[in-house]
Amino acid sequence: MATLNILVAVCVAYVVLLFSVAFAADRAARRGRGAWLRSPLVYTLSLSIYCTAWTFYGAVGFAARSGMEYVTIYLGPTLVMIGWWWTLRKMVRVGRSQRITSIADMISSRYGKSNLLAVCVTILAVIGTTPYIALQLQSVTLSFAAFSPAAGAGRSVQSIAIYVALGLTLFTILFGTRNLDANERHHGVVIAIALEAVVKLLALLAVGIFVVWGLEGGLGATLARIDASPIAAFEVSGSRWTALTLLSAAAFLCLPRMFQVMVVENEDESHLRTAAWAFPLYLMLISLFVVPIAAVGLDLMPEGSNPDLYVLNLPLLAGQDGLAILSFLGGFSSATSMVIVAAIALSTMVSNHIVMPIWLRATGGAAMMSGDVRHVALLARRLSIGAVVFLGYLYFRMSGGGTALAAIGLIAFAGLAQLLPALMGGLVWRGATRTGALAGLGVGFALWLYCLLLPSFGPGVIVPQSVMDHGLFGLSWLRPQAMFWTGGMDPLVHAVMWSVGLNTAAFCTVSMLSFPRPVERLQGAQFVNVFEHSQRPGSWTGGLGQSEDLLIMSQRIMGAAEAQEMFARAARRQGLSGYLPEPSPEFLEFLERRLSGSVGAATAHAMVSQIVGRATVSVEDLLAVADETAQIMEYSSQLEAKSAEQARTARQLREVNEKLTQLSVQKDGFLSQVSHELRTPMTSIRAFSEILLGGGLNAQELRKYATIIHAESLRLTRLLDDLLDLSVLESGQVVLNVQTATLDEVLDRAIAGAIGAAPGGLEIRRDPGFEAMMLRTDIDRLAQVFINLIANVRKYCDAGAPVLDIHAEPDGTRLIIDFVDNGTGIPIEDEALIFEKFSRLGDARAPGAGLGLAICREIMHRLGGAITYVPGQGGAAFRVTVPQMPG
Amino acid sequence: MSEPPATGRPVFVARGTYRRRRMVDAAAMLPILGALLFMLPLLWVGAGGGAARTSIVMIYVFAVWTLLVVLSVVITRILGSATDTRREEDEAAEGAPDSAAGSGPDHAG
Repeated sequence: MATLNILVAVCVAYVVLLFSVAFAADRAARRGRGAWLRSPLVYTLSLSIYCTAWTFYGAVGFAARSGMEYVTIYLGPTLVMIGWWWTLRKMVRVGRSQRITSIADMISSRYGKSNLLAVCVTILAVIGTTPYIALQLQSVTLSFAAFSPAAGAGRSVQSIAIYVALGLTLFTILFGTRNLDANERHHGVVIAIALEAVVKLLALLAVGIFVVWGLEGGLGATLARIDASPIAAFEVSGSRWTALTLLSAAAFLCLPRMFQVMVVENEDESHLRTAAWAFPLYLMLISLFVVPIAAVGLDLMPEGSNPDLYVLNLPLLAGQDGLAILSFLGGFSSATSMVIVAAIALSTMVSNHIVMPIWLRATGGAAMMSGDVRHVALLARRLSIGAVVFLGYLYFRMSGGGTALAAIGLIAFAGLAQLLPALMGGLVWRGATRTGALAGLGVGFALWLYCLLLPSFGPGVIVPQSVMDHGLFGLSWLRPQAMFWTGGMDPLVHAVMWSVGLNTAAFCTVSMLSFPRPVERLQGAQFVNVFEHSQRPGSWTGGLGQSEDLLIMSQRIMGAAEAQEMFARAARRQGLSGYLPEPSPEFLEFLERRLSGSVGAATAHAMVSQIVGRATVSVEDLLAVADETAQIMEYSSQLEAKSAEQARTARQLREVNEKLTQLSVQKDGFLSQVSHELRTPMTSIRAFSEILLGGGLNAQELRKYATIIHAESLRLTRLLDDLLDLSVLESGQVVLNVQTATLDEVLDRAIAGAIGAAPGGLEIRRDPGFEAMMLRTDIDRLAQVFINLIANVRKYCDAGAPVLDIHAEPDGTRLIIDFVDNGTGIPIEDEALIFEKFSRLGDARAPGAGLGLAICREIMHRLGGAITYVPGQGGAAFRVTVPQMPG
Repeated sequence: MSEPPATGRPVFVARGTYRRRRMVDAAAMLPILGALLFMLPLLWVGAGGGAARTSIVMIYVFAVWTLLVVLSVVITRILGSATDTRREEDEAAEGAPDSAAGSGPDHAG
């Protein structure tokens, strides 16, 4: 058949076109000339991989079977897309800020980078996607067969499937694994997908227009045809309509390939703004002519022909081979783009979450340093692509391609919708935990298997008829299509309701009952509050990692030049030269995120921690750090207090030292003074005694010299007495002679002792008010103090007419006696010294050894009282405080 | 957020900001409106008391679809023209419970 040959030629030409477009785009992007590759339009078109061959062929078949119901598959994504502000925006932001590589990575990253969870999601995704890939292969072979009915069931169809599978694997490996960093856009792939999106839309629109205006002759006629067709009545069950809309919305968010183009390949968040209206428009256009084609097909095509192929068969029936080939290309595009993206998405998941962890564990981390991780990761990804496509092919061969296309699609949707609670819950609810996500996924997956997937192979194939009728183990509430006695429902609605419902319930309940690990809590906060802080808090403690080891490892993953460039930049930012930055927490953080773009968050985390020594910060660590900080703060406040105390002590010491220095000076002065004082009388005594020894003196002279010698010896004795007295007082060996007397009497005695009968111009004013008070103390000693004070006034008061005020006043149990003169007083700087021994104010203006006040102070101390200098009284003012001893 | 919680936010904002906030509300309400409108045909009754006609439902669904696309264009244009990052941050804080409610029906499905 000539058409088949032309078809093969066109097909090959189209594939060559795709390869060259992808190649050109990759080249342009590498040379930095691909600005248009990053336009929102390309982003929107790449989203169109939602519309697979299932849309292209299956939607018409779906409509031919159940009328308008097919449209729910596109209404769900439309609603999600126009509601982008709610969910997609957050998902894309999280995906970008965390360098998410796949939906498994997203969920694993949210729940504390759990690899177990990533493995579960990956397995679910593979199970849910494999039939879908099979579906695409089936559609391509079916469409080939449509052109050559004769070769329909022969070996050639099977060989077509394997050629297609091989071609797709080659294309995906070639353009999908150029960069290890899955976060970088696969420009070649994306642009090829965009081209295919345009082709499939144009093809479907062309067929639609041909059917409406070519075959039917206008809109009115087409509507009349619809009204006359078997699908004229809108007999859609409300539950199916609603459930399918929600299911497609959920699948739109959870399908690995959708996640790949929507989040991972997203270049700019603002592209969502355009896609928010452009993608619904695309969906609307692509589903616009579905019902007319179905109605016309039902009318024109012979009884029993496959409605899934109306899109192809109607043009063929009308002899429009060109249109039929365009239509074929549309279907081919839908199928191939889906397989390519799904293979990339799944291979990323399989290699990052299954192959790499196993390999890392098997080599014990040693290979990370010696082996070429980059090579291994790329190889793993390429093998995974081959494996994923091969699995799809295997499924296609096993299933024999009998099932209606739409049924497989919906079952796959329902399977992947099980990811929704964990995904959405993780984005909006900080309380969601890893255990909860695992529980929800497990419950949902099990129910999906039991209620939908296994029965879908037909009764008796996997699930025995007895179980279908009477439930597992004969329990009637475990019937696969009537769980918990809920009969009479559409099997799909039933399965979706129970699987997603119980999935959500398990997820929420277990999350509430379990306790998240520290990393989960950190990541949870990062995801839920992604708009508040798009960067992650530090999760590495630095200083342990070896920069060189990290560089070696990074080179293996990112390539030598890029890794060195990155390390050098990091080093420069830290103000260092060379290639090795300090392994600061920020740098490790940054490095881990860069690596996670290549190998996934969990693996990157594992790799870095293997080098850095698993030094992740747990909440316990944080608490310990906080404790330590608190301790340090406390310690430092103690230190502060201590240093304040030390400052005070130092000041006191300085004062004391100053005093000591002054005293030392005073003492030196005094010693010379004492020597002088002692020497002067000694000199006179010696001189006069020599004169006496010389003889020849008259009695008068003798008497005179003897008197001088006597007076001088008295002076010496007095000086020595004073010194002795002081030392006795100071050593505390003094014995008090306690007597009773009135103050009046003591003062009288003191004044008499100090000035005798000759007042010498000193006027003493007394205050008789309290002088009658009785004192019980050592009266002689007290009098000695008073004598000293009064004598001092006589000696030192420099007023023209010296006046001494003696004033007494009781103060509680003490008696205060003030001696105030009218002289110039004592300079402030000397106040501290006057009570010290040997201190004499100024230079020796007046005789005396400077022991008087020191003796006074010692006496008052012994008497239990005090003597102080009171400044600011108009002259020298001494206050004597005497305790009134009881009894 | 370093900003104090809701109490610290100004009661009155500039006209542009106010308009933008209402547009965010509109963007959030649009899918609800769409869902309701798409559900409506389920309640329809045909002329003879039987089911509604597929052709009518088809025209209605595509009309609603077009309307949603046009509204989405208008809203995203207005949202895009005014860049107010602070608003976006605030929205994130408010948005969390909203989107939880929004994804609720999906779970229930």
